[in-house]
Amino acid sequence: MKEQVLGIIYSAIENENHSLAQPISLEEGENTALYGVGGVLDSMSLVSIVIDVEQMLEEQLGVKLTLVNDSAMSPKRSPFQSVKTFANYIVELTAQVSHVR
Amino acid sequence: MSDNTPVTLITGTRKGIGRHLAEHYLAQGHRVIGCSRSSSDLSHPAYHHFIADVADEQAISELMRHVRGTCGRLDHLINNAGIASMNHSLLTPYKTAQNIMQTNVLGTFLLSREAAKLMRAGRQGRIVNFSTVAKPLKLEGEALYAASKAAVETLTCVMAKELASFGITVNAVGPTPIDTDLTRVIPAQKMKDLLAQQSLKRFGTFDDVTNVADFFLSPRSNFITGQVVYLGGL
Ligand SMILES: NC(=O)c1ccc[n+]([C@@H]2O[C@H](COP(=O)([O-])OP(=O)(O)OC[C@H]3O[C@@H](n4cnc5c(N)ncnc54)[C@H](OP(=O)(O)O)[C@@H]3O)[C@@H](O)[C@H]2O)c1
Repeated sequence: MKEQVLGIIYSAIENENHSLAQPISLEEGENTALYGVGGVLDSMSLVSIVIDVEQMLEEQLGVKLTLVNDSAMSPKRSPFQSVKTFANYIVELTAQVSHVR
Repeated sequence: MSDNTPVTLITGTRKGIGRHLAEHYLAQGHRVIGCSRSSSDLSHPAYHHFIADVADEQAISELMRHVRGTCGRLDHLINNAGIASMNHSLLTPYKTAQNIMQTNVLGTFLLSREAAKLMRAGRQGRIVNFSTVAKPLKLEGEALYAASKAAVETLTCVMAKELASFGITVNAVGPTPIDTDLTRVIPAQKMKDLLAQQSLKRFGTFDDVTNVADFFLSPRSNFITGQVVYLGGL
């Protein structure tokens, strides 16, 4: 499950890289910083990546999730700090919801 | 149907302005997806009707999944569905106030949010919302309705900014009274006074609304966003 989620996150970042002046390097793998302290993403890019990830989770894994809630957008305790925190957050949420198909 | 057939989603297409808009864009060769809370008798090979309440997140999510699955993209969204209640604020039941806000404000928000996610992929899109002259005229007896449309206007302006980088424009049309079920309940004298406040003192027509919608949807209008256009000269 985690592997599939990571794959989805990486492809969402690659999609967004097409429109970024400074593409995000994925060399550090799961430790790639995203949003908040040390992160390279601005909030618009984060929006795009989150929407892409939501769509791919639904299309590829059949899970419908709303990834953003009020606390998720606070840079301090945000699940979007790195690829790893993002993936763990999704795996955790997935365990709590029912599948659409 | 060719791949570049415009795909247009219109809410509230069972009757009134929405029905007219659906027929208009079908005649223009668009593929039209419509919705309302009850079924529609509009039958056309390029029309698909959904029974969905615009404020029902689950139903709208299903509608969007259908659009994505069958059309692969969305070019235009017209947030026409709306309800009114003509009543003194002191006599307006809380439930009525809730229904107005849910349909007019949250419905417009929900559809716009989901449509923009789909439009984003094509880096272009048009969203047209519905206000009313009751908002700038601050009409007595329409407190909740006018307040809901003030919220729709603000949503229009803020989303215009937020969606600009995706190539999506967001505008609103503010019709004068048009003869539909929505306005038939207004007393004749009140209607006369209302029309007297317009520069052009007549009822609006469906075609007046379509004209503004055509302008907003035009590919040439890609530099027009965050605007509210009132009919009748306010
Ligand atoms: N007529 C006017 O003079 C006038 C003036 C200014 C602005 N407007 C605006 O123009 C828009 C259309 O008005 P209209 O005069 O055509 O009204 P209408 O004749 O009462 O029609 C309203 C349409 O919206 C649908 N609808 C209502 N609530 C809905 C909901 N929760 N979910 C989905 N569909 C819903 C209705 O179908 P169901 O009942 O089957 O759901 C119907 O098809 C509204 O936004 C209104 O505020 C109208």
